[in-house]
Amino acid sequence: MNKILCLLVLVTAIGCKDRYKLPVDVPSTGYLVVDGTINAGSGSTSITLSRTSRLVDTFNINYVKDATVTVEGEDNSVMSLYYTGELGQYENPQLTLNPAVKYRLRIQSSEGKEYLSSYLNVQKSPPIDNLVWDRDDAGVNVYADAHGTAETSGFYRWDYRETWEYHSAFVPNLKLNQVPLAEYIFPNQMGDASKFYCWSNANSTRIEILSTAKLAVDTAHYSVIKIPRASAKLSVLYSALIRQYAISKECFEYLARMKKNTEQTGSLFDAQPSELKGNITCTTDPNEPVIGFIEITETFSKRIFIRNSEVPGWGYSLGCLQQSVLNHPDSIAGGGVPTIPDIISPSGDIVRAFMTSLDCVDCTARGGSTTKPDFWP
Amino acid sequence: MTRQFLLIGLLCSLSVFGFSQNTLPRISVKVEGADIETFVASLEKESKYYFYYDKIQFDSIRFNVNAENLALDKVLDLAFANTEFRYSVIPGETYILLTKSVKINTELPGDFFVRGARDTSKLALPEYGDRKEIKIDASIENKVFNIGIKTNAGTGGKAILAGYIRDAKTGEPIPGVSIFTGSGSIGTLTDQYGYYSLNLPKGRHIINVQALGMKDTKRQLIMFSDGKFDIAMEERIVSLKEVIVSAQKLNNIRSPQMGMDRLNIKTIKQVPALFGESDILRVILTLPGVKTAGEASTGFNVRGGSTDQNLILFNDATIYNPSHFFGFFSAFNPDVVKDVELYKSTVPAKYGGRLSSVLDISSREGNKKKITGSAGLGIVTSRFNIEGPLIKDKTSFILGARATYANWLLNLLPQEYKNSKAGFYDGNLQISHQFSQKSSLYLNGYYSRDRFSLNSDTTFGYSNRNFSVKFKHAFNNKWSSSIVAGYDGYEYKIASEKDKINAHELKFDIQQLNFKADFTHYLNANHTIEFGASTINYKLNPGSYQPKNPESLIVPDVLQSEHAQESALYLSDKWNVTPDLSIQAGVRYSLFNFLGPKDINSYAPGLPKTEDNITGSTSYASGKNIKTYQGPEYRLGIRYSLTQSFSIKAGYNSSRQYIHMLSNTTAISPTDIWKLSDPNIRPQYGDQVSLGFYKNFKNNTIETSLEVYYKRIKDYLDYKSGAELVMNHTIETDVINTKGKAYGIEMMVKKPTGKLNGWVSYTYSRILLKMDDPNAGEVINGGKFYPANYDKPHDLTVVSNYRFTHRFSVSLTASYSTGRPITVPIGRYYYGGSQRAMFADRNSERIPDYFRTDISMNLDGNHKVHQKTHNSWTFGLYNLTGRRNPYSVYFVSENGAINGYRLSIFGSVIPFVNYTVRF
Repeated sequence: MNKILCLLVLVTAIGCKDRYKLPVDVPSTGYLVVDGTINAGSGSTSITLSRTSRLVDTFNINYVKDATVTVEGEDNSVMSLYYTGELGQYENPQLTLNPAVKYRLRIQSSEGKEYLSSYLNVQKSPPIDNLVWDRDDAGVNVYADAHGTAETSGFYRWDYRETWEYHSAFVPNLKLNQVPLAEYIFPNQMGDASKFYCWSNANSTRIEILSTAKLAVDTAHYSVIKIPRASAKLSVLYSALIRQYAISKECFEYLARMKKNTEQTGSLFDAQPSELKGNITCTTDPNEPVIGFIEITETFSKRIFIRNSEVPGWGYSLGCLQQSVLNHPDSIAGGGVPTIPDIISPSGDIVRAFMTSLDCVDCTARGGSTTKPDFWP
Repeated sequence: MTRQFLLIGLLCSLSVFGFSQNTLPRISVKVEGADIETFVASLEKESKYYFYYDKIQFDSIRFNVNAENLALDKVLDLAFANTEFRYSVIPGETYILLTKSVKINTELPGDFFVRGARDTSKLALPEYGDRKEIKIDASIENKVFNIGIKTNAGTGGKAILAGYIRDAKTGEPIPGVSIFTGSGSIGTLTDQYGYYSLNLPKGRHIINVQALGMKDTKRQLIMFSDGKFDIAMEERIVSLKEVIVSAQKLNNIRSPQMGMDRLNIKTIKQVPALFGESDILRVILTLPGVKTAGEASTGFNVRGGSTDQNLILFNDATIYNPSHFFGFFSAFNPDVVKDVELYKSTVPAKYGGRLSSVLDISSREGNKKKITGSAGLGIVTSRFNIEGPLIKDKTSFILGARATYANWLLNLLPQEYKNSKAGFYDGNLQISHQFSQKSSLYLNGYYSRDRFSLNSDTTFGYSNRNFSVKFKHAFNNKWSSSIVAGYDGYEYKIASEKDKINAHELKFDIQQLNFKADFTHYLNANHTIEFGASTINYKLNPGSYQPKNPESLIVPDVLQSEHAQESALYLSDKWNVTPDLSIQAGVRYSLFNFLGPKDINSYAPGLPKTEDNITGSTSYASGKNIKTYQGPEYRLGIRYSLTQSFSIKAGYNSSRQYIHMLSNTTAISPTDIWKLSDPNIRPQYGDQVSLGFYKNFKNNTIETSLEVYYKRIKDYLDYKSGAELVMNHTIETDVINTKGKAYGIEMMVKKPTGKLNGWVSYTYSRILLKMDDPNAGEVINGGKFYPANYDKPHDLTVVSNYRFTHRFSVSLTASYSTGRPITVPIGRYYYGGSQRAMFADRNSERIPDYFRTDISMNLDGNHKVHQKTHNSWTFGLYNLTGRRNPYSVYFVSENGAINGYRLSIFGSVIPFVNYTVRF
C-alpha cells in the first residue's frame, strides 16, 4: 500500500507529507503492562511489571519498581510477590493455592494507583507428554506433545528458554602486544582455549498458543520452536526448556489478538488492528487501559537436547578465514587478531603470523558466556 | 431561436416578392424607438393608407425606421424585419392589416378553381413559419392532431397515446422527458429510450412536453382511440432570461420515486473537475447522502453503505472498478455519457444485488443524421469521440476513447523514479439500430485498462471489459419489453520482475454473464406494471500467485475458483391512486446458488471461524449446488402531494447482496478482491425506511428537499485484527459478520436554471457497526457500536455556476466533511519477549476534516449554429485554498521513535486547462 501511496505522490509531484499529531494524549508515564502467570503448581511465580512508552519516545522498557504485588484469595488469604530488584520482576518462590478458591492479583504502584484483576479459577494444566523434533527444508521444529483431560481447558500456551553451546573457529597461541606485534600468549607456546567454548541463551519472543477446541480429543502436537537451517544454535549442542500451561478461552483469545496485532508480517494491506481488553483494571481510574491477561495455572516444563551430529549437513559456517600477515607493526595494525605463526625464523622469531577476526577466536564476542550451565551434559 | 428568425426573414422576403406588383406610394419616415401608435400615425400621415391592428399584440415592439422615399411595402418590410409581425395589403383598398404571426391571405390561390380544394392547409389559418420540413414534428404547436380512428361513438372512455420523444436535430431519443396534460393531472416521463405511454380520456387535450436543456413544447390533440404519436424536441441553444420554466421541475414533486437523483451531462460538465476533465463520479459525490471514500478515489459511500454496496451500471453492464489512475479519473468518458441516475432509497424492483444504491449511467446514442464528434485536450489526458449514422435515420454509432500521457510528468521526478510509468486508456462503442418504430437493437462495448509501475519494479494493472446486446421491442402501446444479454469482466495483475528469484505475478479476476428481460405494461392511466427476470452467472478467480520467470523460486499458489448463479424475479406497479397520491410498490425475489467445484471448510459449531477450528473440508463436484440463499426484497414508495409544489414521500426498501468486496482500505484500490457468498460467508441484508419532504418555490425554479432515513444492515463484513486478504485460502477466518445501523438527514436546495444555478447540500449521517458475539469471532470495541471506517457525520457541498454571458461562465464548488475514522497506535510495550504496539479502540480517532474549493471558468467559442467546429476552453484552479487535506495517516519508525505522518495528495493549488473541440 505504501508503494501505491508513494507513487500517488510522485505522479502528482505535489503531494506532501505533514506531521500527524495524535489527537489522543497518551500520558508519558504510560499504562501498566502485566506479563506473567501465577503458578499454581510447583515452582516459582514471576510477574513482570512495566509501562508502555510513547510512540514519540525512543523505545526502552520502563520497568516498574517499588510496586506492591499480592495474590488475594476469596478466602481472604494474601500472598506477596517480592521485587527481585531488577527487570521489573516480582517473584514468590512457591505459592500455595487452594484449587477450590478463586484468587486475584492486586498491584499497588508507588504513585498510589491500584490495579486489580478479576477473580480467577485455578486452571488445571496437563503435563508435557513428550518433546520431539523433526527436520525439514527450513530447519528443525521442536514439538510439544500433550493431552488434556476433562478438567483442562483445551487451550495451551508455551514459552521457552533456549541454551546452546557454540565454539570459536580457532584456538590461538598468539596475541597482540602494545607495539603492535604478534607474540605468544603463553611462554610455553600453548594454545589458549579459554574463549573457545561458549553458551548463549534466548527467551521466546513470540506468543505460542494453541486451541484444541475443534478436536474430538484434546491432544496437542504443537511446533513450539523453529530453528532455522544452518543456525548457530545447532552448531554443537542445543537445548530448550519448554514451559507449558493451560490458559482459559478468554486468555487464548486475548493473546491470539495480540499476536495478530503485533506479529503480523507485512503485506500489501495494512492490518486492521484493534484494542485489547485484558482482565486487569485500574480501580483508581477505571478508564485507564491495562495491558495483560493474568492467569492462575499449573506450569510444567521439560527440557530437550539436540546435537549437531543428529542433523547431518546442518550447514552452519562461522565463515572464519586466516590470512598470513608479516609480523611488522605496519602490517599487523591492518586489523584483526593473530592466531598461530606462519613462518618462524631460525631464531624462533615470528616472521609471519596468521590473522583472523576477533569473533573467530573469542566466542564471547558473539554474545555468549564461557560459563557452562549446571544442566549441561 | 436564431434559426427561427432566419426562417421568418426568409418568409418575409418571400412575401415581398409576392406582393410587389401592387404599387404603393413612396414615403419618407423617420422614427426612433416609436411605439406602434406613433409609427402608424406617421405612416398614415405620409401614405394616406389606413392601418388595422390589435394594439395589444404590438405593445412590445419598438420601431427604428429611417426611410427616404421608399415604397410603403418596403418601409413595412424594413420595420417588421426579423419580427413575427406581418402586414397584408388588400388589393384595391387603402387599408393595410397588421397581424402577429399570422399572415392573412387576401386572395384565393391561383389554382383554387383549377384543382379544387386539394391542399386545404392553405385555407386554414397558416401554421407558424416552420415549413422547411414537411414531416409533422416539433414546433407545430398550434396544429390539432387527430389520434386514432375517428368515430362517432362519442368521447367516453380512455385511449392510450404512446410514442418516442427525440431530439429533432440528432434523432436521439430523450429520456426523462416530462409529458403531462394541460391540467397536470395526467403525466408521465419517458423511459431511457425516450418512450412514453399515456392513458388519456378521449377528447381534446393539450400535452406539455418538457425536458432539461430542450425547448419546452406542447401539442394539441384529439384522442379518438389508441395511437402513436412521436414528438421531436429542439435543443435550447440560447436560453433567454424569460424562459425560466424548465423540465423536471415537477418531477421532484410528482414522482413517487424518492432518494433519486438524475444528472445530465450538461450539469456534470459545469462542475469544475480535476485536470479539467468532467468527472461523473465526482459530481455524484456532491449530492446529498453521497460521500467520497477519499480524495484520490472515486469509490463512494451512499447513506452509510460501503463502496461495494453500489451497483454501478454502464449501459446495463456492471462495472467493478469505476476509476482510473488510483481514482484520479472516473472510468466513464464524459463525451459519450448521456445521463446518470442514482437511486439511494426506493430502488426500483428491477435492480438488485447491492444494498446501498444503484448508479445507472447511460451513454448517448450516436447521431442518426450526420457525422459529428469532439476532441478534448487536457494536461494529463485527452479524449476523442465520433458519432454518426451508418444507415441514415436507422443505424448509428458512437465511439469514444481516452488516453493519458502522464509519463512526462513522471519524467520530471528525481532521477531515482525515472523508470516509473503510469497510464490508462478506455474505449466505448455503441451501435444502435432501429428496425422499425417498434424494435431497436443496441450493441455496447466497453474496455478500460490501467497500468502503472514504480521504477520498473512492481507493475500494477487492472482492466474492465464489458459487452452487451440489447433488444427493445414495443408490442403495442400498452406493452413494451427489453432484453439484454452481456458479459462483464474485471481483472487485476500485480507483477514484479526486478529480482529474478522473487519475480512473481499476482492475479485476480471476476467474470459474469448476465441475462435480463424486462417488461412494461401500461395497464391504464393509473397503473404501470413492470416485471421481469434476470440471472447472472459468476466465475471468480480469487487469486493466483505464479513465478514470473523460469529462474524464480516463487512457489506457485492458486486459489480455487468460485462459481455462482444469482437470479431474480420482480414485479412492480406504479399506481396513481388519486392525482395527489401515488404508490410505487415492488417485490423482488432473489435466489443465489453457490456452485461447485469447490472445497469447503467446515468449522466446529459454536466456535469462532479460525484456522484452529477447521474440522474438515468437503469437496463438491463441478456444477453441484453447494449452498442456496434466497429471499424476498420489498420496494415501496409513496408520494402525496399537498399542493402543486409540495409533496411528502415515504419509502421502504430492502435488498440482499451476495458478492462482497474485501478491502482493508476504505477506497476502491486496485488490489481489492471480490468474494461470493458461500457456506461460510452469509449474504448481506439491508433495509431502510425513509421519509422526505419536497417543496418548490418561485414557479418551481427553486427546489428544496429534506430526507431522513434509518437503515439496518445484517452480516456486513468487517475484518479481524490483522486480517490478510490476498492469497488467503481460508478467507472466512479473517472476516467477521457485523450488524450495522445507519441514519441521517439530507437537505438540499437546488436552483437548476437561471444565470446563477447550482445546489447546496448538507448531510448528517452516521454508520455504526457492532460485533458482540464472542462465539463468532473477536468482539470489537467491547461489543459496543463503533463507527465504520467511512463514517463521516457532517458533509456540506456547494456547487454553483454563474453565467456572465452565454459564452462565459464561472463555476465554484466547495465541500467540507468530517475526517474519516482510523485506528491508531498510541504506545509501545514489551510483552512475551517482544516489543509490541498498543492500539486505541478501532476507528476511535479521525483524520483531520476535509475542505476543498475549486473554481473553473468555461469559455465557449461563438455560438453560431452553422460552423465547422465549436471550441471551448476550461481554465481552473483545483483546491483554491491550497489546504493540505490528508489522504491517509501512517506511522513509521524513525530513530527508535514512531512518528505519525499525514499524506496529502493535492496539498496545493493545482491549475488546469482543457481544450475541447466539437465538430
